[in-house]
Amino acid sequence: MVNEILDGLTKAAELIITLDPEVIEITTRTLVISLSSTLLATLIAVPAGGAISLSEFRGRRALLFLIQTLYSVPTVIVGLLLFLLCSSSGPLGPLRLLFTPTGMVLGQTLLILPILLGLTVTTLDGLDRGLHDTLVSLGATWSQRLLLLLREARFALLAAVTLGFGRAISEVGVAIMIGGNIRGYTRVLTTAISLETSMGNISLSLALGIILLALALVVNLGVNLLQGGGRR
Amino acid sequence: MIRCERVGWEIEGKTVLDDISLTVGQGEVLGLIGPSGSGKSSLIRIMDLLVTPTSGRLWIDSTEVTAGRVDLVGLRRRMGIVFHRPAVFSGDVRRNVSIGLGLRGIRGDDARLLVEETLEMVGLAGFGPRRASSLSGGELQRVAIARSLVTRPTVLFLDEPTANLDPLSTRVVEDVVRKARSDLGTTIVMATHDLDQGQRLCDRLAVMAAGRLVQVGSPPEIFYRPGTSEVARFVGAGNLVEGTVERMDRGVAFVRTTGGLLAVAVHAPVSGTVTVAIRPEEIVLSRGPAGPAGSPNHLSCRVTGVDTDGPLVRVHLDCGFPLIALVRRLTFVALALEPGQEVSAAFDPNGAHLIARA
Repeated sequence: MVNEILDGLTKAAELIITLDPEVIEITTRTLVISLSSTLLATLIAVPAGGAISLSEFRGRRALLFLIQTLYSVPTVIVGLLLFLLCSSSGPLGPLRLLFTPTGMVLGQTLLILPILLGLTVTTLDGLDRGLHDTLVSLGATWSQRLLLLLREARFALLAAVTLGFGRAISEVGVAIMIGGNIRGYTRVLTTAISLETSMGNISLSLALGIILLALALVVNLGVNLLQGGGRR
Repeated sequence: MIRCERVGWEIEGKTVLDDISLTVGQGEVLGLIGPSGSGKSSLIRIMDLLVTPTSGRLWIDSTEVTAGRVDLVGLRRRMGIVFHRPAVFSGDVRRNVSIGLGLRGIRGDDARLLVEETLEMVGLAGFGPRRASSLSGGELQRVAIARSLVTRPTVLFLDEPTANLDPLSTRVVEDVVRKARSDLGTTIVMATHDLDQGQRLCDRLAVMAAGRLVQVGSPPEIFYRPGTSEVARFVGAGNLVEGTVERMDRGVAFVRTTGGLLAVAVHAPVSGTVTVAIRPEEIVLSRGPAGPAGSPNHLSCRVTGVDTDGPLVRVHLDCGFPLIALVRRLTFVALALEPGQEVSAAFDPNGAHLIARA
């Protein structure tokens, strides 16, 4: 096992240093799909979460409970649901999203949306009540209040977005069920690892895994630097 | 300027404010005083339009806010509020102060000028580039006041603005409040449980207890002519003696108490059971006899206890009823007061106040 890990590390270094075209292509696709779904989910979740946080309505607690329950929805369930929706007989069939990168973006967006939505609400709800009251008393309109509160919560929101990105880049259920792991088209790091492992290429799987981890590490480092710089 | 008419506020079946009728005039400094939980902050939040009363009517100038279909944002922009715990936004002091200006679309040089001017007014000139979160409590409170004043509000609400501050910072904040009034003509409504502060800063005081307005008047009226025993107790007229009016003579009521006859100056005839409120600082102690036998307001007492009250000494007495006298330390030393000692207590009929039983 130790040898396999060492082999994996060597192979990973080799693949990265030699800029192996297939690995670069898979890595780039992984990044593009995961970043797109994170961006899309953020664009939906942050305003929607803000709206929920600033509103008082019947069923608010139940809605939050539902959102939080969906944090841990299995990726294969989302994959299955989307597969049924996108299959030729499903309501989204005419859009031909099945086995396409766009379908994968949609699936990952749905997967991480509850996390981003829930954390946005929790973050804004957790801000000092005095900030809300001060803004209202200063005559802020609803949208001005939302924007200023989001600004106050930006570091916590950034952490939530990072968490969402982490879930998107590491998931395999949606990627394989909606993407189909088509070489050169929908293959991403996680589906490639899954395939290589099933084919017995443990070293390559490990190499791809190390690349995946390195990507997560780079993103986290970037976020940490941003947070640190902003707080200074 | 602001008028509350029978305003009430209930939350989840609990009455927070009940039947509040109050008017605040243009340029006035009105103090809301009362113990914690009496509803001062709630009333301020209603007047600042942060919450809507569940009953009654509220006017800001000629606009009836409670009538519905009112531009709340527009009205709020004419007012400002400072909470007892100031909210701190991220960034520097300049950003914290200019937030209200940004909301009104005032930016650039106009905003910068207003911010600098207001920071100077609150004694924080040059603080603009400093990180707000690095300031002390007193400085933060002044930033919060500057944030409200920079928009030049016609009304400024202060909710226990010095509750968490040391005496020095409290004085500075009080000076800022005085300046806001004198330099900008701002109408000020402040909640405070600091009675001395209420006396120092306010034209009128409104005493609140258990969600109700108990008495409204000038500081001397509130402190020297409390309307109820509750108000008397709160404003420190600590001696409340029960008695019955025996007779009236030339503006003086003679009240029979368990400790003897007390004479109290009154403005109108009274009769029946009353409470005599005597401020502790109005009582004069001496070692001599209590005056001619039965003469009013000359009481023979025994010292039951002694404790200090800042620069003064609080002497607890038994005069047939419990009585507290506040004396200067020099007097206390000269009289060599100690528990068990016999002493005479006297007070002027004008130094006491009669509260008729409801």
